[in-house]
Amino acid sequence: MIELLQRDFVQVALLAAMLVSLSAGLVGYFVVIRQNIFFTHTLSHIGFPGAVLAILIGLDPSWGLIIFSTAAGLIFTWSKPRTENDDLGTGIILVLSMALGLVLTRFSVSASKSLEALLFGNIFVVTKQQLLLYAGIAILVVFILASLFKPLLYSSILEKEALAKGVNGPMLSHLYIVLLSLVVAVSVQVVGALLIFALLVLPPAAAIKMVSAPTRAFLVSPLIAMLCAVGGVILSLAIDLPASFCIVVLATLIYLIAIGVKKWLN
Amino acid sequence: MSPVLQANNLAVSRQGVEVFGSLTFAVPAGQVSAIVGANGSGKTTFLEATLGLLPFQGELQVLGQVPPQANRKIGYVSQGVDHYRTEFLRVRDLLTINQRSNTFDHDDEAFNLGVNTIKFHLDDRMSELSMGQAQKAAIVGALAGRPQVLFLDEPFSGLDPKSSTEIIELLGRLNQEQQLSIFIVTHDIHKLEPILSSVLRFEDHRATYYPDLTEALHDEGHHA
Repeated sequence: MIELLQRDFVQVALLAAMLVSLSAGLVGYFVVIRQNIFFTHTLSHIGFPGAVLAILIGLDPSWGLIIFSTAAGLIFTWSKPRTENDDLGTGIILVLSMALGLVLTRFSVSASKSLEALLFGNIFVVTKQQLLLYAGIAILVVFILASLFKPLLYSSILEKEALAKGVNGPMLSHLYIVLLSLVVAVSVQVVGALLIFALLVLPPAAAIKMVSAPTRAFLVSPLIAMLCAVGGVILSLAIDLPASFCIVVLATLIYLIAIGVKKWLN
Repeated sequence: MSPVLQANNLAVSRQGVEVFGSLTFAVPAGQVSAIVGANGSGKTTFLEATLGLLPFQGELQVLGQVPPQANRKIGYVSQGVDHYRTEFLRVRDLLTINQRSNTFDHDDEAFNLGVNTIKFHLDDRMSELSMGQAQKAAIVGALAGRPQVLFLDEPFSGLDPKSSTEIIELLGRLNQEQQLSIFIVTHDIHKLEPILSSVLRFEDHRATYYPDLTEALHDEGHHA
């Protein structure tokens, strides 16, 4: 096992797990408090045809994921106010994106080979160039969310009150959507489009159950996400099961423990 | 005393349809005023224009400034208490959420007056509070930052009589002891009678200002 951990591809995978889960845990905190869970799930599916298209034209799938999910995220926020919940419309876009991605895989052998990795993730194929991209996104997420934490929290929970106090809610919303889209794009490579819940929703939801102070929950969330992602990678090497499966199981267990501990404390 | 809220031929539209027009009035500072009218008559629309959240035609001034220029001197609690009853904030987080600092301003008398009426734990999550407790916490939170005027949108909606009475007592003390101007959107001016000075009534795309409470109550009888 120790010998395996010294292998280059494992170390890249562990670094990728740390960087992506750090970003996912931080931005995921706002996914939970803004109740953008289904929307986030849809963003990952919109990125799927983008990734396939990128492979078709010989690009890194990360770029397809980033461009498609960011463009979709911004179009969503520009087209309707945050308070308008349109699950049906969002669901239609989700299935259309999946169908489009599936059709596109028919045009290339390499794209069809990547199908499983895009849907369920494969952290062991992350390259060093992609690692740099993940690091850049993590720095951006940490810097922006740490500086705008309070106004974003205020406008996420009390939208009208925050607007009345001069907080530029629409601008913060757009900034958050760009960060979310970037993080969704990189999380897809770790856990896949179908299992994105594990990194972006379960760790912050568990953190919020465990800790009541918003700033502490915001900081605990990436720690849980990192524990799940790094623990999941190591576990997958130990028991020879897919890393995304191990990450999902760990995240679910931690969430269940958090609920249990909260109930016990009450 | 100079007016805290002043309108001259004010009209506000939503999606191209005029909600109300030709509204002219001036409310002196230091009063508690009720904003009344049937559902959809324009009460919340008026409040949102006053806060600069909606465009308007004509003249409108809050504390002598065009909205939203005076918003730093305004405390506001929006309609419906459910969004305040969130597990994402503790009571103490709500009380400082509109401030840069997370610590209480102990020199702020109005804020401290409000905090001292809170009988529940500041470390409780907002989701653990009753509707009455959450509404009181929301009002005390709006007092942070030393506002000169408070706008409350239907603060008694869904509250039991005891909670309503406690909040009315708090608002009365804030008005009397701290000279805070307060505007309350409500369906029941009788409940507020002990602390009320004037009434702004919205009806049939028009609004009438009653600087005298007796006349407002008399007309209320005709509208009931």
